[in-house]
Amino acid sequence: MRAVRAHDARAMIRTALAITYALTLALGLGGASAWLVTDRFAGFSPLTIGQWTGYPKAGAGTADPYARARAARTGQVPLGAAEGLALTATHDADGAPLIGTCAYVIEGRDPPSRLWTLTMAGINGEALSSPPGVPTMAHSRSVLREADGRLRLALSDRARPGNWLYLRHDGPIRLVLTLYDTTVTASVALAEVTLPRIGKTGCRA
Amino acid sequence: MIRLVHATIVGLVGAALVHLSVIFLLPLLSASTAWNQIAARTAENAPASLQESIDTDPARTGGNGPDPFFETAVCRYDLREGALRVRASGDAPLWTVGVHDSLGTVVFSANDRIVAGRRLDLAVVDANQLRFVRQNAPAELTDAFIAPAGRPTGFVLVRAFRPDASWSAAIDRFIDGLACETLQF
Repeated sequence: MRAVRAHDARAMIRTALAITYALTLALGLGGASAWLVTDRFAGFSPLTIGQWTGYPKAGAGTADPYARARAARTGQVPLGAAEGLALTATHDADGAPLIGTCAYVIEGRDPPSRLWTLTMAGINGEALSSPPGVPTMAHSRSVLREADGRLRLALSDRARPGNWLYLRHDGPIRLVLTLYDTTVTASVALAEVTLPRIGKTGCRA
Repeated sequence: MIRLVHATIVGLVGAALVHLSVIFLLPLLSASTAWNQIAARTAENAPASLQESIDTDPARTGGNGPDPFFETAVCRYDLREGALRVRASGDAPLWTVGVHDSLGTVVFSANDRIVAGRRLDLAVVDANQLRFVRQNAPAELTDAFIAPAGRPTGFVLVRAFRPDASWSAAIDRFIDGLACETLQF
C-alpha cells in the first residue's frame, strides 16, 4: 500500500515537473523570440537598390505582422507612400561596413524624387558629434552638380573642394537618404532605378 | 524519457503560439505605439511637434530619427466626436501630410503637389461622415481633400521642409498657423 502511494507521488511530481518545463519552454522561448525578432528584424520585403535599403510597405495596410509588431513596440512613424521613402546604408559599394574614421564619396545621378535629404548617424541611430559650423547633412537643393549633372559628395574629417560633409566618428555609422515625393516605390522596373554609389576613398591610420 | 520528449514537443508548440500571439497582439496592446504616446502627451486640436508628441530618440526606436530638415506638427483625432479638419497655408517649399490610424497604418498621405493651390486643407472622416459629405457636399469642405479612416482614432502628421535657417520664419509661420478643428455635421 505504502509502495503504491510513493509511486503515485513520484508520478505526480514527474508530471508537475514536465508541465513546468513545457510552460517555461513555451513562455521563455516564445517571448524571447518575439522580443528578439521585433528588436532586430524590420520586416519582410525590403527594397534594396545598390547600398540603400528601405521599407516602402512600412505603415501600409499590407505591411507584414512582424513589421507592424516592430512599429508598435518602437513607436516608429513611417512616411506614407505619397510622402516619401527613407533609405538606409550601412555598407559601402565594396560591401565593407561604413566606419566613421574613413572617408567616402557619394556619386551618381540624383534619385527620382522632388527632394532628397542626406543625414548621418551612428550605427544605432545616435547623433554624431561635430565641431560647430561644419556641414554634417545635405539636401538636393544645397549641393552642386558636376558639369554633366552628376552628383559628387565627399564625406571626411578634412574639408574638401566641392560638396563636402564632415564625418568623424569612432565606430560604424549609417547614412540615411530620404526621398520625398518619389517615384521609386512606384517604378515598375526597379532595376532601372539607380541610387548614388558610396565609395571608400581612404581611412585614417 | 518519453515524458521529456513529450513535454519538449508541447513546449515548442506552445512557444510558437506564444510567439505568434505576441507578434499579433503588440499593435493592439503595446503602450509605446506612436498613437498611445501621442494620446498621452498631446491635447486634442492642439498641434504639437513630433518630438514633443512621441519619443523619437533613435536609440529607443531602433530606426532613423526624424529628418532634421523638416518641421513637424501632429494633431490627434477621435472621429466619434466629429470629423477632423486640418488647415495650413504658407510658403513652405515642400510639405507632406500623413493620416496614421491608432494601429499604425498610414490610411492617407499626400504632398503639396497633389493638391490644388498648394494649401493644406484636409478632412479626416469615418464611414458615416464620408456618406454625409458625399451626399450633402458642405460648402466649407468644397476645397478640402477628404481622407476616409477606418478606425475612429489616430493622428495627422504634417511635415514641412526647411532648406536652411533663412527659411525658419516662413516654416514657423506655416507650422504655427496649422489649425486643427473638430467638425460636427
